[in-house]
Amino acid sequence: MSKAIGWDPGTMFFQVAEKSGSKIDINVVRNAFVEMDATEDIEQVLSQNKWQYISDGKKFYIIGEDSLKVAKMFPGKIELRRPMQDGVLNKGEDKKMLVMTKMLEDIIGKSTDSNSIVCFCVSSDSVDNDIDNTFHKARLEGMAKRLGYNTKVIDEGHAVVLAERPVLIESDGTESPYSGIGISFGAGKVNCVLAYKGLPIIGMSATRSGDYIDKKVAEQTDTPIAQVIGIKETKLDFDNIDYDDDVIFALDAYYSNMIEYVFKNFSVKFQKVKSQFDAPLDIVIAGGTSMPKGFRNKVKAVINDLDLPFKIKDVKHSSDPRNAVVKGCLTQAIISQKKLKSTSAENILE
Amino acid sequence: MFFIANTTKQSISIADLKLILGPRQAIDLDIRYTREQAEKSKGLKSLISKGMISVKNKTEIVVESSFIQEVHNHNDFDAEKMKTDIMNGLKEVIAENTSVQPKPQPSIDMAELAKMIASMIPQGQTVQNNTVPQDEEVKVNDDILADIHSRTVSKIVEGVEGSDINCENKIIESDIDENINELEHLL
Repeated sequence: MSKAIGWDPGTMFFQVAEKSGSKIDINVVRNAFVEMDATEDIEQVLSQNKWQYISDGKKFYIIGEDSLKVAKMFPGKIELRRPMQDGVLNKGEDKKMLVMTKMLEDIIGKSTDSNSIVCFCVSSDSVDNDIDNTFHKARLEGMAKRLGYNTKVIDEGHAVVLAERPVLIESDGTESPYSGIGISFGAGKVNCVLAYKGLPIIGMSATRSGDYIDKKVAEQTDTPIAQVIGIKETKLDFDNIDYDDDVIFALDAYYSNMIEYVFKNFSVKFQKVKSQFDAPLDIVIAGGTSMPKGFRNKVKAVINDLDLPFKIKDVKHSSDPRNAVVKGCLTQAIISQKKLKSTSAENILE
Repeated sequence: MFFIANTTKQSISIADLKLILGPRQAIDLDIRYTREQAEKSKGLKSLISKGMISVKNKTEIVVESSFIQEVHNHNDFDAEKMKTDIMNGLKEVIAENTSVQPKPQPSIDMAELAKMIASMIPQGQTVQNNTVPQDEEVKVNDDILADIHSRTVSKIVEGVEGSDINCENKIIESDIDENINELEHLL
């Protein structure tokens, strides 16, 4: 049976989605690992603890959520490493391919026929650095093709649009679905895409996102980064900011800065297509960095103070922010697979 | 993978690799040559330093030292020595031809000799325009690129073993079918 798979190879989480009847089956692995020397009893230790690992014969790599546990058990001795950085394969990490290829192979398996497809997302063009996607994209395609899959690549912001269905009301009152701005606030990057009737029109990405905020807050408040992340995930509520708490205050300030930066840069891109979009636009937001309470209101408050070249109909927060991108990728995978099958059928008939 | 690209709008050749790259053509040298051959190439080094060839991606290859030794032992051809011999021969011929005393015609076939030397000198070095060309976007067929990466990925994970990966699994309700039906009409 043909498989259609959505894949979000995120900086923080590696997510894969597949349709299962009327539901969606999502598998998530933390995109991280630690390295351990191949000692005599290492395999015994690993299997006793039920830690997930891979080995290239020289070293052992504990991957996923377990890597975090091990890194916490040996602070300062074992470094938590990440295959991705700033939305692309981490150029400073030589084991990135080993780890990510193994993750993908284990989760999706090999293709069963010529119509199986994997749709994955990449970042749009970056506004604040010269990170080029070509190598990253080709490597990920190589990973999927190696397992026998066809591939389809979409922008991450586009995936949010496909999953969340923003609607634009035309001047004659008709609705144009999948038209609006999709924004994914990820760990490595923020990705924005303006789409019209499902087609991406413009896109951009910026590295001022979750990891950037964590790092800056840690630096400014002299707080360990793990503690900053903990406070962000458990205590941060933009509707109730405790301004006496340095970390909370700094998080609030850097989130404001990120939102402002993203919208200002997106506005520059938008100028090119401004004349085609008079109607107010829906903005849909998703991604792990959008998870703190009150984030939607925070976005609304920040953009209210900006002079944007487009009108905003509403700011919507995905009902499932962490899975919106992979759902969008799965949506595109199924559509592309249907096209692939009909093309194959036409070729047979000819 | 040792992926290089011609950044210029003209064909350039790397004589010591006997390789001609068309305008903006890219190639994975690891497919045609051993890494040692590619890294030894003076023509390649020279063209890279002039900016006419850019290295798009170069992965590390770990080779057992015993294997390297074996390769050296079996590599009897010494291009450097041959080049030196030919150059010495040429100097002798020129000296003979330019001397005051008439000499008998050299027995060396000059045309053949010139051809051999030309084939050994990296042609890229003779280009008159010394300005470094702009680094242009190299156009490589996406399918070819994906195939190259697919092979590389396979090499990287060769022999890798491990436990099964346990994922956090979630099954969620979804209106994805409605979205797909709607999008099929739009896209």
